[in-house]
Amino acid sequence: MQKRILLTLLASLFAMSHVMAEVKFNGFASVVTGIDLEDDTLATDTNNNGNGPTNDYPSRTADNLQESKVGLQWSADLDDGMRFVGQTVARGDSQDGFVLAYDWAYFDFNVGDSGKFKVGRLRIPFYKYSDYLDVGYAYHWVTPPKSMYSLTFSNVDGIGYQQNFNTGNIDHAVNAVLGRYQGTLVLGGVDSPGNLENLIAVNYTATMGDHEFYVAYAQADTYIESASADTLATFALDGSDVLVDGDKGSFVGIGYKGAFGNIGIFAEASQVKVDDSIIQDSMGSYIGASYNMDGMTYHLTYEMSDSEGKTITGSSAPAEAGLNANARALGNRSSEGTSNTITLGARKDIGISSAVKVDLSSYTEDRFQSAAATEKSEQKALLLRIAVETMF
Amino acid sequence: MKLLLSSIVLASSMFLSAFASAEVEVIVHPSNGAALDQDSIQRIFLGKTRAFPGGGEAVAISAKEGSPEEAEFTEKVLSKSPKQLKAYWAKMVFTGKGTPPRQIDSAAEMVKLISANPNLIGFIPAGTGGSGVKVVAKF
Repeated sequence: MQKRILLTLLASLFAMSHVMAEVKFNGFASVVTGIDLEDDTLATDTNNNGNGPTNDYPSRTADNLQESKVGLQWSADLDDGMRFVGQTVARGDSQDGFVLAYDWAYFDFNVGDSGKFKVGRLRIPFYKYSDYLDVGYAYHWVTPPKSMYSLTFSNVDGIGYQQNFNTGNIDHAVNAVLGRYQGTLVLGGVDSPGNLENLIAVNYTATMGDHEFYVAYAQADTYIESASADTLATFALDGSDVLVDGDKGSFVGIGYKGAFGNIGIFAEASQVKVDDSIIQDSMGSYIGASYNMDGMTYHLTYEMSDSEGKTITGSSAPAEAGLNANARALGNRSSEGTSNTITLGARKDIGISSAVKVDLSSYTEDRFQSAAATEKSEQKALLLRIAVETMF
Repeated sequence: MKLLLSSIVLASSMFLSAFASAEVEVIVHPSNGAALDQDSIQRIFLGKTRAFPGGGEAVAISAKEGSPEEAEFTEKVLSKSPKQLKAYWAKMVFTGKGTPPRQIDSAAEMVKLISANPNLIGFIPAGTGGSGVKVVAKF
């Protein structure tokens, strides 16, 4: 239904804009090929459907679809400082080919000299690269570090406000959104119907010359429907401690990106929690440096993630043991434990709107690999990816 | 020796005149009294503000991408390389934060537009403006 309303809105806007406004088109495309050079995928690794531990690339077989995408953005300047912006992105999917999504569809209105009010489908300003997550040309990696960019949703239907101002030689930007996300969320590596209500996110960014710093906070009432969680809840003393039934989820993020001549330094860290639920507390971060020389960028990044399971009180001692083992396995993406990744990469710019990138990522994790596991075990992946990016 | 000296003088004056002809002038409507320095011009042309320093709506217009005056303006006033400017606007466009200034085909067309609209600000090769526009800065 929502989709139909959106389509009608877009169609009527197109018709209107033909008469009244100039429509601008911009686009971007990424073609990514990747292969996991390790072949130690565990049979018990149920969370990742037999693929590599942290990525969805199969072992020893090249996959050239899952991170490829094509996006088209159009904007129509209407009268009196009002504008419509739409963005559709077709993302590659190893199972379903390309899947089309409306990422953005909003009206914005100029407020004063440097403010903007937005209404419609907006991007949630979680991370440094949130706004152009899909525009691979805008960053040096093949994809931003997954330990940090781990949330599986990025848009909200609602309203937003953005204000820019400056003091001395510092530019400040405040970006806030309020709304709701309804769609797929992941619990225990399984796509499940999810709902984030009363979602509020605020991001503050300060830019001084080549140095940029941000802090972000978001919270929402979180709902995820999961048959596994329903079953587990029956063994808990308080079933609602297991279920994700309107619990407060929170996100805190911080980041820096700067340049000192040819040398770039970048770091981000974030923490995600959902109180009174089976979802583990997770932290992700990365730090890295790059060097620019003759149209080439060489970069090195170290990233890490840490998921900590909750202790849930069972209706009996054996129930509690089983419950906590299963709770660990039902963590988001992988079970309780830590992981780290070292990525070495290079980017070559071609002309002024295309680039070729190569990243080699060595991944190590130490986790409870399944509900049956009594101790943590190590898994590794060595991911080689090549990307061609363009924008037009 | 004399020949050498005079050819040095000739060569250097040619060099200087080449420099002089590459200068750009930032122009506004004659009624626009805003005090504009490099920083405020940069903010308007990079879409960071939509107003002149003293108030009043500011709309930047640019010369054609790749034209000598556009290259000069990008380097001297915006302090960016063409690639950096392209990347900057890509980020602004794809984050929905703004769109680059409209590109005008010729300096004559730019002068004509600005002489008729107090909200516009643009740039032209030095000395090509005439009386219909006001030069607020030269780079």
